[in-house]
Amino acid sequence: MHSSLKRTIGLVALLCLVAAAGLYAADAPKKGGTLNVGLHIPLATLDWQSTVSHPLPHVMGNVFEGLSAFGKDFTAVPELAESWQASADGKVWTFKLRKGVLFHNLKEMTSTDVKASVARWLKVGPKGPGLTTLDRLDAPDKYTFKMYFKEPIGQSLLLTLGSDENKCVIYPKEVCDASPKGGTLSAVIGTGPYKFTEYKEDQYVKLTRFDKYVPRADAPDYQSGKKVPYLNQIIFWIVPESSTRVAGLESGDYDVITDIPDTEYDNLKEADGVVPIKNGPGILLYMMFNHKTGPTSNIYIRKAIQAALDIDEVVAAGVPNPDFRVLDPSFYPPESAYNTAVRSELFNQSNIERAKQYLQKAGYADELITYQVIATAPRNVRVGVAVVEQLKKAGINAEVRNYDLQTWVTKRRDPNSLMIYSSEGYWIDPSLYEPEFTGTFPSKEVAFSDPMVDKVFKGLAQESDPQKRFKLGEQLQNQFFEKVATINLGYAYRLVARRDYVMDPEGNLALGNLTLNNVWLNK
Amino acid sequence: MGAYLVRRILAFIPTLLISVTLIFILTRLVPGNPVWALVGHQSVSEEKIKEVSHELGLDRPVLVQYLTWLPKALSGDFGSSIFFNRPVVAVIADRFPVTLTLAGLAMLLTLALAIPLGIFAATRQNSLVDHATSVFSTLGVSLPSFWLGFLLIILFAVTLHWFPSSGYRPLSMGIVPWLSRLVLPVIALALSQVALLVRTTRSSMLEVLGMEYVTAARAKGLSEAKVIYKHALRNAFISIITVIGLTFALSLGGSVIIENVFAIPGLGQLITTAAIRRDYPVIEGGMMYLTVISLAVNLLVDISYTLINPRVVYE
Repeated sequence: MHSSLKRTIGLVALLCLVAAAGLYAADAPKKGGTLNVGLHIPLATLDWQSTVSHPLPHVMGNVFEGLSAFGKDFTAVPELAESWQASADGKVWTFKLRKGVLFHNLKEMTSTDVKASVARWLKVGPKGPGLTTLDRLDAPDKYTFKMYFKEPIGQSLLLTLGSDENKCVIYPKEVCDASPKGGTLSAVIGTGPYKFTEYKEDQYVKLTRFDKYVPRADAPDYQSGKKVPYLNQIIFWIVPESSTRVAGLESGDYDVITDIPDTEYDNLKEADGVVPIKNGPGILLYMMFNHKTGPTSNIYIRKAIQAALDIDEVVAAGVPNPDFRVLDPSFYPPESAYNTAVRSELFNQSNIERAKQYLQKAGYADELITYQVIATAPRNVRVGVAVVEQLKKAGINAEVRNYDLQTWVTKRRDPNSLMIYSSEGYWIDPSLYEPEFTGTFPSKEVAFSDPMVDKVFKGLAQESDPQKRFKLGEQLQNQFFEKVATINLGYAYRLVARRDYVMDPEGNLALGNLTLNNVWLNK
Repeated sequence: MGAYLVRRILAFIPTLLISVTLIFILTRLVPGNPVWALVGHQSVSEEKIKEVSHELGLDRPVLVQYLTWLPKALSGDFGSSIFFNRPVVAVIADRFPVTLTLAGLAMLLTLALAIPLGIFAATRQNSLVDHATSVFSTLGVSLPSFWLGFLLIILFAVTLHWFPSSGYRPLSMGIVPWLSRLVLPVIALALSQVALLVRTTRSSMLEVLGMEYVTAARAKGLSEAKVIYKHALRNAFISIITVIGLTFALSLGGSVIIENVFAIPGLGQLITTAAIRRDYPVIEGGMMYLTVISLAVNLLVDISYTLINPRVVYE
């Protein structure tokens, strides 16, 4: 071969190698940098064990860990537990803990810390007291933790412990001992990939990488698996106005922003260097009733409402962007393994005539039916207005009542005030509905209760077999439709956005709360 | 004057007593409870709510709560914030410099622009400058400050990248980070104040310029500058200073809208968040602070009248 040709081929090969190396370097995750996150509301507390209040999981999900967590498919996966096993009778759960896991104060996490943390969560946590059949806790050796129950308990235990609302996170025993009351912690120390550094009230929360973090060996799996902290620092800035968060993302002041109205999607899609992300699972918009007193305690009134509603129109009013809403009859989101079409004939009926027949059967005499909404939650208001307009068409004397959040919460507990309210949330597993449909929520005077539903919940609590649980999930949905315990008003998806240099290869930003492990900056 | 001051300060006591009582009663009358914000309102049992209410002492009769709270409140101890777990006085003291900076800079900008513009418009009544000033002041008063705030953010932060879009940095982090984050909120806050003060200055000056003593001063052959700045402005300042005092007192209470739009952790944001979460001690302490500020600024304005115009005498 001619020598100049050889040189040319050699040069081309070299250039290809350099280019490939460059591409690899650009794609390879790298450590460093500060991620600025624009968060929508201030934190009420730093003590995750004591609250279901948002946006704590967005922040503390990166600091604290529990025995179990949610994986990408929103099922419970081990986090600080290496494995778990239920006894044959389902009354004893044994958790084998991971060895060598360090707290941010560099002390090793052991079963003593787990026992103290679970005991504290049972006392101060809103969800903890729900484990009513718990008998005792035990830490027989350094890496084994046991929970003894009076009655069998199934997979729902793992969901309750790992709930990303009020997660049973593990603190060092000294912190638990020094922080007997909920809402205050003697120190913010967890085992997560990032450690808490500073909280400036209503301004920011700073986290820094925990260099001694010991990740799991298994593949990254949303809140669990191999979690790598690439960022030097994460700062969560409190920016209450959504338009300011959007402007801050566009100007580069923030790298990630949360809780943006879906109407901003097209604007963000057009903006330079910005990537809007549809975040799931779908959030159920649902309607709740006063089941004990007043017109809505009459099942035929509730059936009339169920028959009258055109959910397509209601969800479109609540979620203007069609890409961010889904019409799905199931009470379990489309992403849930329990999603089912059971009794879907009772969903989205939009049948005014049938509604009128039910009203006649109920002996409805034009009583005022009020629908309370949260004035500061635009989606909630739009849904309320759409529902009320449809109820009027069916001949129901309905009216929207606007309240601020605190008044709304108070009024929905008051049997003399509450008739209908709507809210939103996601229930991946049927058992997660239990606190709201067993006669106590939002207060005993207005709550739904039904022996058949109680029986289903009992089955869900005890059963671990996926197929049997699915059947129980169907039974629960059947009861919800049949008794009009609640009404599904469609699903909404959240919108978050990032700058294009924020790398998220695992797609964590598209899932639930902000989980920033394996996220890195390519700047 | 001394006796007048003593009387005014003594009059603060019943005013404060009535204010604290009203504030306490109103915060307790409004439905809601800080426990919901603290624990969360989804799927939380009634027992848990009762337990936390008991821990916070909110399950006691309101009268008992009031009688325990009143002596402490009158001595300046409003207790601890339910959410921040530290004394309300310390929380307010943290936010005060932020609000003072924002209000102070906005007032400086207002004075620098509004008074010369107002005088200029008055001395050239019905000129093009006068009409332009009228249009500007009408716009300034009518434009909602949140809208103006967003407009400034889009223009100067998103499009031109001259200033950060939002947030606050203390002066200890450097003058550039501190000042760069204050420019847009100060402009947004100052604009409506400028508009109001331009109108006040113009109308006061026009009124004074039409008086006989001004004509006499001119007839005596005094220079126009001396007539305007020495004789007319001094008299016109009585109503101007009243507007300045009221505007500054309002700004010191924190501009809720501007602080929210620009994510500035000032007193306005603190009191709004406290009201949303029903953080009773912070609401009560914050409202008390606002009352004291209003009383103090009003007193200072009254005193300033005697300095501007020696004919004003308090007996």
